[in-house]
Amino acid sequence: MKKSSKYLFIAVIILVAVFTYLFWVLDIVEPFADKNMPLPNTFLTQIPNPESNYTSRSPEIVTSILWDHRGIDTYYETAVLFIAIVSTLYLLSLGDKLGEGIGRVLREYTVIAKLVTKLVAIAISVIAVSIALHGHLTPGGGFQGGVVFVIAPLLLLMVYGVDRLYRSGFREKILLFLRTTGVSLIGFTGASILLSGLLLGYNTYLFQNQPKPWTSNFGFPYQLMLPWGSLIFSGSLMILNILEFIAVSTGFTLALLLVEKYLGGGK
Amino acid sequence: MTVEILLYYILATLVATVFIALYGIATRPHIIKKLVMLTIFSDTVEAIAVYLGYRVYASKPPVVPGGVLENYVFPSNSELEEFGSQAVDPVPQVLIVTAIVIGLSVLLFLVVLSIRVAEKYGTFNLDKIEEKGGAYE
Repeated sequence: MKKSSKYLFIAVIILVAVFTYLFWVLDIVEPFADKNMPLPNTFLTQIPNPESNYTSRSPEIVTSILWDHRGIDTYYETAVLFIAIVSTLYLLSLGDKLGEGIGRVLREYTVIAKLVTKLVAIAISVIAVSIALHGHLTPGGGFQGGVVFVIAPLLLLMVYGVDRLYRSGFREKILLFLRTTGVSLIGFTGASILLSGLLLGYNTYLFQNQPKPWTSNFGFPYQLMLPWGSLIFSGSLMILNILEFIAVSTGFTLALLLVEKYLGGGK
Repeated sequence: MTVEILLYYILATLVATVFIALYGIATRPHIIKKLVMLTIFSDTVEAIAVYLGYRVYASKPPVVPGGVLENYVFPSNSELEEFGSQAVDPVPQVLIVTAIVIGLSVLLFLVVLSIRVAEKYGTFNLDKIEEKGGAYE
């Protein structure tokens, strides 16, 4: 018996035990049950509440939890991805290049594929930006928008080759610079109210940028009154979403370019 | 009844995909195939996590309706209560965003390790690496 088979056997037993425990003992899969879940119900009713003092008052619950209730966690998670990409760059630059076929298109695609890709890539980019900018109001957010955006460079890479991406401005150094700027500005936005509070003598929170009447009257506005109407801002959620969109889309594109550069060539 | 069958069919498909991915991780000798299977494994587990928050009678997206940019009206308390009883569980959706990011970081790390191994032995196939004296078995 090969060692891998033994590991497979052990892993299957563990998985069966875990699923049995989850589905039959704890009975957590109950799509027909009444909704009686304390934590989600608290989030769902408290976060969009205009009288609530401790949340962003945003109608989008998922983004609010991500950036307000566990904002530091989300920041570190973005930092982990950043460190992973930087270490990948560093580690790969140590060895000789594997793929000889850098920038080579494997197969010449037809005019139909090229034209459709061109059109679809534009549409995907627009939809991605829309998802990111609406993240504090509708389903979506910076991370989701960034992930959608990466499909456009992926399509261009597959159909046109990596040269086309370089000509469009997707270069490693630019992407790394944008990624670094995005992550730094997320940290700065999260800490800006805290720093201002320290300087001006207010009580403030880290990564909780709404004013809270009971403890501190200092923070980002959740709504901006402009001459031509009002703009829902949801505290700093909109800014954080835009920055996260930049960080995630550039980071994923960078990872894509790296994989293409070192594993590409169709061997 | 049809809805019930469909829902448990989806769950069964997800669980089966987990086991198939595990089989692939354990038995395929090619490192890149192992990585692909690992990605399928983690993505399926995340899909199961989102599925757990779903209720047939509470399946609206966790966004308060009426979120328009102009003339925004904040919901009243009774509307919030109704919304809370009808929306899906937002907590797993938040948690899997973290899981996706960490999964991608781990994947990048594993890809780098694989490339280093392939640079040394000239192949991604673990069986061939073993023939060349690599410590696999």
